[in-house]
Amino acid sequence: MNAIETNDLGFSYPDGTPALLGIDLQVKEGESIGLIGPNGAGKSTLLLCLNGVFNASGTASILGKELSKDNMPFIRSKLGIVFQDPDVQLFMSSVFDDVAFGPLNMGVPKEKIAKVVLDALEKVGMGTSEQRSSHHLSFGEKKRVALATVLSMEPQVLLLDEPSSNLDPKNRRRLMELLNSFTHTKIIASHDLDLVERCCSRVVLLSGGKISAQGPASDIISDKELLKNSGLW
Amino acid sequence: MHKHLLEEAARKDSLLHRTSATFKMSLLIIFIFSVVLTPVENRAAFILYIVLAVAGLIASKIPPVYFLKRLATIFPFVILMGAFIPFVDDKHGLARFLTYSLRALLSLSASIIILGSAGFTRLLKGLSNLRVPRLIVMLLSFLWRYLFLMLNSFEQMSVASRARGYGLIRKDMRTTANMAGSLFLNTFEKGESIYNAMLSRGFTGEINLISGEGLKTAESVILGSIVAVIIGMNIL
Repeated sequence: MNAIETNDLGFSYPDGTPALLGIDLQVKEGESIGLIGPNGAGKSTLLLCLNGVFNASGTASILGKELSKDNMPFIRSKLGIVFQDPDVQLFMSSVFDDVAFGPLNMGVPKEKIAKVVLDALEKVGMGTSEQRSSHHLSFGEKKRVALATVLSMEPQVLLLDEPSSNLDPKNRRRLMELLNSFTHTKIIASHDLDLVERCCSRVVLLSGGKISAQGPASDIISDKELLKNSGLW
Repeated sequence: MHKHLLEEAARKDSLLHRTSATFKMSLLIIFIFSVVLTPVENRAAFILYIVLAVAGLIASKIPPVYFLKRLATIFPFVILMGAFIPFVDDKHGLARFLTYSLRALLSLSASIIILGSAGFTRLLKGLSNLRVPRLIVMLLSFLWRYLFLMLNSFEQMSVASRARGYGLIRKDMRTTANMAGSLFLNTFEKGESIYNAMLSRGFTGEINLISGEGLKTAESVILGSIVAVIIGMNIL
């Protein structure tokens, strides 16, 4: 079964600039997809459309349910999106409150919240940080807590926007190990081709808001001519 | 990364630090209301308030330098606001101004001690427990969180401008205004992104918060006793 299926998905920004044009994408359950493309190709926009934050034209189904306003609570609980800038994701005054934000919105009973939060922090190796303030975390820690804010919602699909950006080699390696340990369906939008090759089985190449190629990760990433023509290399 | 003095003070361990945030907030509210509402003729009550403030400062183990620095930052504004009082009332103007200053000094001291012994995050939980509207608690939470980010952005912008020689020979209002405008735009864009991040985690406009620790029995007894003493001093 496809976890995500889009047909002719399109999106234009309010000023009329087209960002996505006719996106047809199928992602199988449990599959890890790398979304690559030059700056402005529409990678982040596509993730926000799949999560329903941006209203896209065309049709999409997420875990068998149509991407529509009525199904939004279901879709947002099952599709966790981790933003590129962790300061955007961590908006509460403490790590605990940030990780609890999603589950509380999903209606998880308050007496269960502490366990859900600690479990999610444990998964990303931040088990003792729940009382810390988000602005006192290092960048690598912020990235991991941002991931925990989504894991606490127990999603089936993870959408990650530039997960390795600005990370030092050690934190980047830890992130890759973490991503490879997850069994979720994943879409990883990134310029980090090495990470994409190590964490994803298939790659979708976006260029100018369109899918210009897709196929096995190693085939696409090793095809420098293709990457050059799409403006990524 | 901004390290705030308030949070450093809040990490200390003292009798006051160990009490719940709800107790501290309740104590602060009771204290401020009492200081403001007690008639100035009731000197015994004011002596009690001064003793309480000093005792609070000692019990909190807050460094006096930290306390005085905070007080020196805020108190001049309070004095400035009351500076016109002696000119409005010829007869009792000066006395009124001194009373106003004493009330302000006591209230500010109590606020600094309580904030310093709890930390902002715990105080927000205390506010939530005291049934302060969730919208206000969340707005305060955002303000606290993003104030540091804005300061960081401003510092980075300032460093970048100095790295390109700004301020060495010339310093003009136009550049400063452009920097302020850029900071505003960054803040606006960040606000949009944060709202998107909230939506993506199921935010529908309803604010759900986890409340902090409630009042312990001993704390309730202490609060009750303080209220009783204050009422007693004002009636007798």
